[in-house]
Amino acid sequence: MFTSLLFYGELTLALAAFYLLPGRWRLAGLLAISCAFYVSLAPRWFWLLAVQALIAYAGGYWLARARTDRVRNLLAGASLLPIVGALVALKLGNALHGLVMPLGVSYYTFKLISYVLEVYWDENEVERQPLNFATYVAFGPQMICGPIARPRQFLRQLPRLQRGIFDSSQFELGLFTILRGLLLKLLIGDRLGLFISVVDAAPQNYTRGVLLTVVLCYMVQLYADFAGYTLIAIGIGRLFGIESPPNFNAPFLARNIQDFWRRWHMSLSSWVADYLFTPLSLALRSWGRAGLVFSLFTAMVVIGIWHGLSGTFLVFGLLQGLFISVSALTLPWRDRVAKRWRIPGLLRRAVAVVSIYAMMTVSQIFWQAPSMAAAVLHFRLLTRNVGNAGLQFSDIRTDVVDPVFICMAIAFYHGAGSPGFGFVGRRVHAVVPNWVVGGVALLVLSALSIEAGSSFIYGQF
Amino acid sequence: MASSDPKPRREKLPAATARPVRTLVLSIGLFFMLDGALFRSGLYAGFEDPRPPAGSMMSIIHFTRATQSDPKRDVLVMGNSRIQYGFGPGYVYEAFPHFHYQMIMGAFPASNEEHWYYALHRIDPDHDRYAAIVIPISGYTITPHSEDYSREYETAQMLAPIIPLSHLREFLDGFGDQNLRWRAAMLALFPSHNYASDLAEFILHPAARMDHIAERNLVGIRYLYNEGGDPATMEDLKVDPKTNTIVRFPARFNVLYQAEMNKHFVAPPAGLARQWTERNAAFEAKWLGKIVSAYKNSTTRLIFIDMPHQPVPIPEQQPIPDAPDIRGMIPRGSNITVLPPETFEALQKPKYFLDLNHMNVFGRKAFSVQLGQAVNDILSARPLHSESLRCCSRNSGPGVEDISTEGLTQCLHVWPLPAIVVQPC
Amino acid sequence: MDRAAVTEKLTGIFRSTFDEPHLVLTDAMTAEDVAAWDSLTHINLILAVERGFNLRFTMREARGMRNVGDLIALLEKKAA
Repeated sequence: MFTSLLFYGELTLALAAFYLLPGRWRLAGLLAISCAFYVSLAPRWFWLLAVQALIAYAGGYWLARARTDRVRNLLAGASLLPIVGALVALKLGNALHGLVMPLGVSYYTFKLISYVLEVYWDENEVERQPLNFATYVAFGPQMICGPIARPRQFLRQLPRLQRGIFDSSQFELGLFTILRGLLLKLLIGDRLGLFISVVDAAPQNYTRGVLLTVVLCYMVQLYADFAGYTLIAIGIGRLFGIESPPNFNAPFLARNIQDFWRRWHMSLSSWVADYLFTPLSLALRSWGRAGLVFSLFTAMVVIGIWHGLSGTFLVFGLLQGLFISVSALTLPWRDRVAKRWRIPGLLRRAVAVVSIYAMMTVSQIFWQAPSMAAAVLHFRLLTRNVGNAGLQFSDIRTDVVDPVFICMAIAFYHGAGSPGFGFVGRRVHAVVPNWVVGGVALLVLSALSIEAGSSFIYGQF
Repeated sequence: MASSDPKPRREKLPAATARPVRTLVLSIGLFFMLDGALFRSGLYAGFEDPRPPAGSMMSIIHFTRATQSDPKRDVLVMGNSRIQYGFGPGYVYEAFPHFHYQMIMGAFPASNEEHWYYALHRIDPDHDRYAAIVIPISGYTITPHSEDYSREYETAQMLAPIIPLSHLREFLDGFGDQNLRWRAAMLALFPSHNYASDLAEFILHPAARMDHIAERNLVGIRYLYNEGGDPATMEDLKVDPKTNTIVRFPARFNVLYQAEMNKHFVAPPAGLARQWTERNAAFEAKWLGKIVSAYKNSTTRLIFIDMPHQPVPIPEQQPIPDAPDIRGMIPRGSNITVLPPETFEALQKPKYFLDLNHMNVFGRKAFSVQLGQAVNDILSARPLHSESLRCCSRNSGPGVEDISTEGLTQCLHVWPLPAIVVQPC
Repeated sequence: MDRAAVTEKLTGIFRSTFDEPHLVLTDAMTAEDVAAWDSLTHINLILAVERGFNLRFTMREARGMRNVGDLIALLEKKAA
């Protein structure tokens, strides 16, 4: 979607229409564009989006007027039950009957749940303007892959929109954000994805070395794909004058695995932290460590099965629960040991980077696999001892295999926050006009993006 | 307290005096300018000799156009990899030291009549560069092969860089599939997009590429003479005549390759065979017709030959009982010659082939000599002197059917350009 | 308990929970301002405050606080 030229043609038309509207009509215009976008992609499910939005809006409206805790609890329950229930039912349908999930349901459902809970906890969070609320729920750019915006963060930008203020620097930033996202997704993510799909089509045919490389590719490929796509979504939002929350913040440089989850798919993990983990751990605080561990496992399992109600995602969640529990419980001890033995910060960070990548790769084997059997097969193939029997790198088409290592390096570099790039970038920007950078970047994009039908993993959730 | 995540790096917004629409328009403009200047013009292909599929046509076209044209003597031999492997003009000159004509290689890997039509547009726009053009058909009788040439994405990839914009509509209409048509349009409108894998390879292995380019420039026109060749044969291939399956493969083929070969030994089911035959016949009729009509009033002679294309009968390529024949499809004309299918039939033997499709060095030599002879016979009445040929063959006549491989090996050598050295007996 | 006493006691709790012996509390301070303070160690903080001031927060109260200033205000009210 975000990588098709046709989409950008339509986007240009939508933007033109949007900016031709006088300021006070722009919000309605944005809602109309978002709805048109949704209907053009998933007309059969638009009713669900509308109904759920209505339930949440009504729930919030009445919650803000509630006087007693009992009423508040009832209203919260009455609003959340159908919303959460619908998501669970759809996920079950997808897992058991292969039902295709309605567009963006995992994303907008979480937006609605967060809204209801925010109003439940603080009635000042209510949004009474139906137009504002509807735009929050249906906002087009965030419908395909997030980020999952919080009500307050989104809604407070709308008055500015309605005053017709045009921030030209935000618009230009949006253009370049989209460009960055396209470069990351098309040049890196798709190439790595091609390599992975070629080998994973029949992993048992390849040597351990090849398979190990593929497995090590999982995290960087997912990053390039997802971070790239998210950047495009964020960029498009900026074109309409809306800032979205970030989804990635140099995840590969995390200090420990808790930190990793504060840098990876941030809008989801912070959502789970705020609306699930924190309340749960607060409620269970009398259980001490056991309470903490239970809350952590619950949070990570939810993150896992948010992707799908299948064994592989469940195992992913459980593994993450294990990693994060162990890390959280031993962190004070590790800090003390590091202080006592005066372990240099750089060494500690290096160990962290490697071990986090290793842990994420292990759980990613499950996340990525189409079935439990396939996941287990990978582990078995990686540990068997058959020497070099099987296809080597040289047996794979050169144009598929050649760029793999450099793409992995670039993706990892980007995922580590592109250290040093900002410095170079500023030097270049001082000398070279933006449009030259843009034109050359477009050429690079056209000349180096591969044609293999690119698919996007996170579009299916 | 609200969630306590570390604030991400604040992104630097460009100065508030940004003029985004101007930036956008200028960026897009610059992009099209660079794209056109570097890629549509053929500059990149000419310099860098890109790999297939995109590059093959451009760089070969570049070479063929670069040769000095003599419309009375130049004979362009078109084709695909079968000609690339199977034809070497040098062997013609070696066999016939006073050969009057200049045989020029114009073969593009993985190409077919559609590619040749467009390539000729680019190479020979006024239809007056050549005395003759050889067009090799792989079997006059239409075979029920499964490849749908008009739907292949590779076709788009190979042709997009050379399609003149005036022919774009016609080119796109040739694709039945809407999705494919769109992708082909993308390739034609953004020529740089054709070179993705090639550029990636260039960036990853710049030294090797520069070496290759230097070598290519050095070899230059010698490419057009196609010296050497692979000595491997298919004599070790054993096919069970009862089941028509391969029971023994030459040792050099690995499991993947063997599986590929086995695929070609499965004949298509009857219903599909008929369907595919009709589709393929329509394709051939269309494009051969276009080529012929392009050269309708030209002095160039079009010579159609039945090219050696299989060492043993390959089940996938056996025509159905009443399959059409291209001889019925080629419009007749005073400048059209269709050589009888038996002309090269004797070369369809395992000892002349290195795989199921392509001839080895022995096949190349034999075929080239025969083709040269045939071209000479058609274009002029002048007899050919074949000193070295007599040396190499046991017969004294022009036929080369019974040449032993050892005998041929003795005759093989690389000869320097431009002098032709004849090895004494 | 007056504000100054609350602040002093709370400072001690913050310093020991987050192992930052020189931490100084401000009203606007949030988790972003303290390295060791995240959603995981937040529970430890809540427990330490509850134990230190001998009270119990409701879920609403625990979630409703936006910064240290809110916490101090709440403690003033509850510990009164």
